[in-house]
Amino acid sequence: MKLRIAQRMAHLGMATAVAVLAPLAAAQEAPVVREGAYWVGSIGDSFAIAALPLQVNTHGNIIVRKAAGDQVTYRVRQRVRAATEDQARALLGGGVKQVSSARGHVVLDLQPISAGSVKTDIEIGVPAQVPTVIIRTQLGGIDVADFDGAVQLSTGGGHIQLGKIGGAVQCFSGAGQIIIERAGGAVECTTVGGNIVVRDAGGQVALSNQMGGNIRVDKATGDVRAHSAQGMIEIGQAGGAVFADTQGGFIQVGSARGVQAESMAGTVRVKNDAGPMNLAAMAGDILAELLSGTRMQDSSLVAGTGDITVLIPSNLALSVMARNSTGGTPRIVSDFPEIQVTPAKFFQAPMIGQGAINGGGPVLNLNVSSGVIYLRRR
Amino acid sequence: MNSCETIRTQLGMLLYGELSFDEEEMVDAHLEGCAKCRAALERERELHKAFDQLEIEPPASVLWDARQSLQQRIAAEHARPGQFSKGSGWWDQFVDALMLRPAGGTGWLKLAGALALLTVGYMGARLAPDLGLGTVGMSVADPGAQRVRSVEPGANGAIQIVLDETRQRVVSGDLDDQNIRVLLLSAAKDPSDPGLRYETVGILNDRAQTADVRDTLIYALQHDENAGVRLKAMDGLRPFVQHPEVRKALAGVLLSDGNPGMRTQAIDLLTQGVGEGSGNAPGNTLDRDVIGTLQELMNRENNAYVRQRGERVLQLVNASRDTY
Repeated sequence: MKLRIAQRMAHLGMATAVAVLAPLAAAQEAPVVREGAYWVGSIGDSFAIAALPLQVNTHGNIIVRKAAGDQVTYRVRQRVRAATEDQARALLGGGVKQVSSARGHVVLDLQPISAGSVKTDIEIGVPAQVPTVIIRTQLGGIDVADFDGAVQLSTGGGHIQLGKIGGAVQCFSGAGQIIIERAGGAVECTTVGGNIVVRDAGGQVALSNQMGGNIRVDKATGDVRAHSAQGMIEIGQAGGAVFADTQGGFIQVGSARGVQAESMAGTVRVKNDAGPMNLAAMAGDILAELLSGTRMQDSSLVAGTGDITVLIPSNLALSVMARNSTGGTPRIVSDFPEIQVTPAKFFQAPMIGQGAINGGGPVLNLNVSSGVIYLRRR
Repeated sequence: MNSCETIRTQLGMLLYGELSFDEEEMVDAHLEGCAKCRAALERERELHKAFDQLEIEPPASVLWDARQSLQQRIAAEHARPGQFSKGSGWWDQFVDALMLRPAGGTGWLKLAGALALLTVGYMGARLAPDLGLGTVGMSVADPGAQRVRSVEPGANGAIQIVLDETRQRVVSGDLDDQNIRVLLLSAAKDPSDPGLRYETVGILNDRAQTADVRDTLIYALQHDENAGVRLKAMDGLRPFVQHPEVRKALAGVLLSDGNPGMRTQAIDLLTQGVGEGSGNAPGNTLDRDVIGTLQELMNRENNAYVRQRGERVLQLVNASRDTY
């Protein structure tokens, strides 16, 4: 029995498809060759494509590469351990490949039907005129080394690794890490569990980690939204505002134009260029550094159990309202004589520190339940 | 009548001022009539004086170790089945509750104990005068906390005050510095701050070739409650996946970690190389323990990807899904 492809282009059933696509080559009688302890079967083909999005539905690991010319190329390589060639062919089992079109997309279905012991790797070559690649793999990793357009990727489980992507990136993994070296546009990615790393994004970034893992964004030109159920969030440089929250772990923002950050357990460290800051740490310190020339807006920093330290440039004008509700001897330590600290008294309100620095400006509201407030000149 | 032997066991506590009033009276009464015990007391006093003259620089890790030990004791107490630590009267239970003994007290007594502690702490703090010890003016670079342990009026109007101080200190050195290493190994287990553990594990990852560091990473992998820290520890252990203790830890992750991202990476590491090299017999690349783990995984895994990976590996090594 030979490896065969069960279905072909012949029964696409959609008139539009025929107009869009060159028909697939006839199913190949793929050779099965011995490679060490394994039998390996490969099929591959190509078809021309117009400037339309390409959607690939499959299962198994998939690699997407940039292809020259106007042809989409694909290659399915399957490997299995078997005693004889016949046994190997039986295990490899064949499969389905079909090209159709729907909703303005060209759809390539590659559904190898094979035993569970077969390792399937799929490689797709995509020409430059394809504006968007959409990959749906039931289970398996997705690798896109280099692609000029946008990508929309989804896997039931497995890693997603992207090199240089010219357009926007949307991705989802049922379980596994996501690594993006460069995206020319916006990035919107979710994994159920695993780390997410974005080195460079040319737009807004929205990342979510549903069951835990660390999130890191080195650079993004737009807003960054990051949610981790449990893990650290590190944002290097954001051209827009940062919105970050984690149930456990630190949040660190290198620079941003406004920050909203909440950590249930962990330190929040922020450098802010402009815009409002709304920072909250239930159990952990807050360290906020206001940069020289910062265009501040009204901000609020709240620490449950932990200290708040704000580093304020000498020339920055702002109004400070600090409130320390710590029992015992609450402390507000200030380098600014303009801040008047009212000592806490027996059964009276918590310690309050307030004043206008450099004539006053946007309001910086600081609130600590158990800790110390430091206002430091930088 | 108190025997000399009994009295001598209390001399140290007498000098520390730790005896109750009644005990002190009893010891004093005995000392008045016993020259040998008075001599023993003098010897004890000399010994204490000698100790006091010694200036000991405790290792920087001592606080960490103490905290670690305390955490372990607390965890052990929590794990103990609910029995009162002593006695059975309501007062004993109340005292247990006050002492925050986890097994102590019924619900209302625990609540009463917690409220009493809260009240005492709050009132004590409110009523305590500001001693003007400079704490308010402490800077970030020299923060600390201090508490008056005892006060003693002197003859000429001077007052001697004993302070307990907790003070921050900066220590620096490389990872080969034993002191630094001990501190890092302790910080990696600090239960209070996942961010600290994450950063510490990140530093330790560069030295995972040494057994003590590797053990700490394995501990983090298995026990850290934060998935981000566990993932970081797994990164550090990646080059050592052939070590039996690392494989055992990864097997544990595969079977019991609630995070599918952790399990996905664990199975990637445990089965790497299986089915890859064309010249190798695949069965030889996986040890029996891992096969057993994968078989157990088949019974409990609900993530389709991890399940599929496990299934495929078992088939590759000619192992059945259910038994080995």
